[in-house]
Amino acid sequence: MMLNFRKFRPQEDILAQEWSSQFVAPAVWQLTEERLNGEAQSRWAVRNDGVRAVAKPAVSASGEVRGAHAKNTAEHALRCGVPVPPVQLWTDNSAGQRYSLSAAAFPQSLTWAQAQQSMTPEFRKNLIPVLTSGYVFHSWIDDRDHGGHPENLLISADSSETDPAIAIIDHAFSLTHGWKSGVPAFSLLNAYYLSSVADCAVDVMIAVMSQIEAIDEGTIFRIVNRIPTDYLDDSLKSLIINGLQFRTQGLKDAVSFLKGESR
Amino acid sequence: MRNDSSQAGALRSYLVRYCLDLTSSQCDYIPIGVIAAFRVGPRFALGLRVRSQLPAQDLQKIAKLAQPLFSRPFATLKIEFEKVWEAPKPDMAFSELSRVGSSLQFDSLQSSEIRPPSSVREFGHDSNQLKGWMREEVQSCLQERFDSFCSNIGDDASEDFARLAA
Repeated sequence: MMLNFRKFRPQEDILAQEWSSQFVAPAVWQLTEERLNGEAQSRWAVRNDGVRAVAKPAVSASGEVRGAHAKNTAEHALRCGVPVPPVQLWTDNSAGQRYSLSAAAFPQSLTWAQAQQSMTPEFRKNLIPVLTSGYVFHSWIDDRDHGGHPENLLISADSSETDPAIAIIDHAFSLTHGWKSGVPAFSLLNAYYLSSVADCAVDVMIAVMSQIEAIDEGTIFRIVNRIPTDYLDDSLKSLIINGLQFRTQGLKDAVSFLKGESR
Repeated sequence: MRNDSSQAGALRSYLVRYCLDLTSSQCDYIPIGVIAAFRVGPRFALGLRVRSQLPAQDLQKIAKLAQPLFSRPFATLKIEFEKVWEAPKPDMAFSELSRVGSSLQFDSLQSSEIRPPSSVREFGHDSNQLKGWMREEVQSCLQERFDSFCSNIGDDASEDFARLAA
């Protein structure tokens, strides 16, 4: 049975399934004036039924395909039980601008930095399995922006101490972001939100690695190819498909090694 | 940036509020305070005005993990203040306050350009006159925004904090 670290409410789980079957949103969204400053130029968007999401330009000023990274990451995370909120792609036809829409994960959240002030030692201890799942997943997709980035990890303020709920957000700097001169071999990240990567739960690492390994090549191919070419051109699609398949090979070796070590 | 005290300064501010439901466009907010930054040439001023405490009925609406942060809202906001103040680029750090996806939201208000009066300009950037004028502008902005922000909740008790770059 798959280990599932997604602890979203049923509404967000339904949204994840809905957006997984409909990669591109229909024209039922509107941008609001509530801007979230920062380099990504994000702002809140609202669907006609009141659902809110963070809208980020799908292609950065430097041409990076951030929306496609976000969508790819959300779809693969859904299949590995890793808590990345649902993402949908959307074109604002009034301005001809393309966006990724990342659903708000929880009714009330704190950033990793803010939550430090109120987390008990027990809460921290119980975060280790879910953080381990994120650690393995981010290592696989070669994410370069979660090595402790205090704003890219949200914690549900409704979390129970025994079963904390987190959402990992902002995957612009994953996949092809670091692959301009080739795809590096799989390796585990050097730093993460855990105080030391040695704190990882090895049994969870092995389980999540196995869940990633179980995503067959056909699934990766289908996910990447369902992203329209105006969000991700064919050469970058090939790069992502080949890159993830290549890194899965390295991950398999790491699983074998860890299984040997843990025996 | 020109190093003369005749140029206009940029005064920016945020309303700080706690969002009770990030997933819905119909969500309610709890007002927390106002933070303002003022840049004139090489000089930077930062001010904060926060509700002293939240009434019990508001605090109860805040989910468990966040409650300790808002039993003393000033202490929580002062952490954000210090983060901006100590940043190598405080203007950028101030801009980035609003980028987080947390329930503690910083909603940008329209910024204004203010030129130092001639009685201040003649003393230059290093003068106590300019520092004093900037402090007064920040405090007046905080007071005006805070009063209008909190006028409909019948609560004017607040704690203030202001700093000016040396």
